[in-house]
Amino acid sequence: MALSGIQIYKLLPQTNCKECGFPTCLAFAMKLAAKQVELSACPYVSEDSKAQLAESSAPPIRLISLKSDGAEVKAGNEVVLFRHEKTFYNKPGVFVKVKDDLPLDQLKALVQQADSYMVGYVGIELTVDGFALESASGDGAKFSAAVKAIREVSKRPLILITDSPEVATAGLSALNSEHALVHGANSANWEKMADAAKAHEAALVVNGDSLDALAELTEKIKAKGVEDLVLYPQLPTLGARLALETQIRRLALKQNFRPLGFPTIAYPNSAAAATQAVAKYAGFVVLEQFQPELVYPLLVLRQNIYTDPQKPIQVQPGVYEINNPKPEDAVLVTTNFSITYFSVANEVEGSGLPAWLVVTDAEGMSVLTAWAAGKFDSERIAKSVKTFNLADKVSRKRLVIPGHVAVLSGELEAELPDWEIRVGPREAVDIPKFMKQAL
Amino acid sequence: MANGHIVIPRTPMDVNLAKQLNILISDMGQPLERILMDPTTAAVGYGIEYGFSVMERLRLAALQGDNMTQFPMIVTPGFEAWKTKESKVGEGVPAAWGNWTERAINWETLTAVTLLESGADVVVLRHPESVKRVKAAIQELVAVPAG
Ligand code: SF4
Repeated sequence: MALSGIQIYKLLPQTNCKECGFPTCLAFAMKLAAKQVELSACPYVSEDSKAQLAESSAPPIRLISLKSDGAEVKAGNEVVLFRHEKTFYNKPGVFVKVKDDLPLDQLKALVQQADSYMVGYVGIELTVDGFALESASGDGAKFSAAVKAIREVSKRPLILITDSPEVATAGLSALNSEHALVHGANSANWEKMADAAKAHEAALVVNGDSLDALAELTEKIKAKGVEDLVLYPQLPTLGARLALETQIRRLALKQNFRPLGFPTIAYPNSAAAATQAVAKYAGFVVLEQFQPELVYPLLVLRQNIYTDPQKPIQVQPGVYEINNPKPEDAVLVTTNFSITYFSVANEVEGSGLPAWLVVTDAEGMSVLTAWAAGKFDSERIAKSVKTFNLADKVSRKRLVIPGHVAVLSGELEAELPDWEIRVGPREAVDIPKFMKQAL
Repeated sequence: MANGHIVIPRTPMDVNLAKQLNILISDMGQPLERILMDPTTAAVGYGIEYGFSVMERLRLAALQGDNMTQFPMIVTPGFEAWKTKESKVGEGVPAAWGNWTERAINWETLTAVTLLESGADVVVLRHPESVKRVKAAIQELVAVPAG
């Protein structure tokens, strides 16, 4: 957390010598707090103060970036506990766990399947971020062979899971100039693990079952020169993990507590645990298995939670032509909330029937929310129909409104006297049936 | 209200609307301990982030002493999840969606647990398997060790 002007003032010489170009040290301190000047403008700051000020300007949660040849996964740099306070920035990387005791061809097949996985959501292509290789064999040669096998089929960043510094070194040596993550260090192996991570410029996971245990280890490891750390709150229950994750983030953000100013990693063993990891603060999420039926909702949830609350995801209002509509084809109305738009557009497209889709400017809200907020009423719908010159495009003046706003049909008839107003289904999924049977 | 029932004020994902309705209902004489508010929400992929943040804000306001937000929250993830295409449709959907039954249960479970993480006190579910999984999660969530 950044220091206030007063806190900075206390670290300055307080002689008001004016050499920095400001009349007083306090004035200079205020400018520093606002990041409008450089500390170097004052020639008299002590080394100790310099170090403290540099420390305070670093982000409260360190940015950890795992890099491979061509891909990068970032975690950390978060600034709030609750997304409505600003936004969450770096979506937790979703990694799939594999083990080195699998026959290499099976391992490659597994990795390849998850690596090529791609699923569409509101026009975004979602994928998994990388792989976590666990040393089940305990054998460095096997581990290194498995790393190489993964690299034959995937370029995504890696997490290497082993307690043994030798096995970790074997794995890291099999990678070419990458920034991998090693999991990890505990109170017994930390020194050698830190050496191994440092030698290969890897980030290192620190294990601990309490705030004290974690903080103590990160301090020791930092002193050995490894700065890129990730915390693993090693606790058995969702409740205990939630408490620790929350305390870690709160201490980092509110107290600027450096020993815990790192992103965390989670190993969820259930869909519920994976949900908590995404909602509450994990920076990396390692899944036990690759299951599309879990990965899909999880990636979508991650997308949702990490949406900037100040900027609802919207699509451009206008008339969208689906399946090449002709003048006599159906006209449907919806709002410009992107999820609403994509649900409706996908259904219409999937039905194979041509239609004109009128997307009204409802300030990025869904049908019901916009209606409740007065952003999707008969006036706005009529205005869209007029400003988009729909009457010139279609010959059959029949407008289908969402079932949730059936109450608007009377008013709309008054606003658009030339048009026939029809009430469509409430849910997008029922649109194809409606179009086939009722239009 | 006249018969001593619990009243559930239901408002569309908005902190102020929720608060206003709570005030109106308590002004009508409903005892505060018989109000269970439903801030409404949406499923994963359909705007759950709005409900998530509204619930977090209601809970934070309650903890800061705003007594018109100090009611337990009830939400209906079962209803929300089971109206999504991902839960309802098994054929003609992308292969990347995975196994239909598991996907549908996951959709409901993820929606429910997300809402629990943002402060839900009562979650209304549909599928027995989701009930089992969400119950297990709740048990773990309340099992916070001392200290
Ligand atoms: S140069 Fe340094 S000591 Fe002099 S007034 Fe500026 S801040 Fe104070």
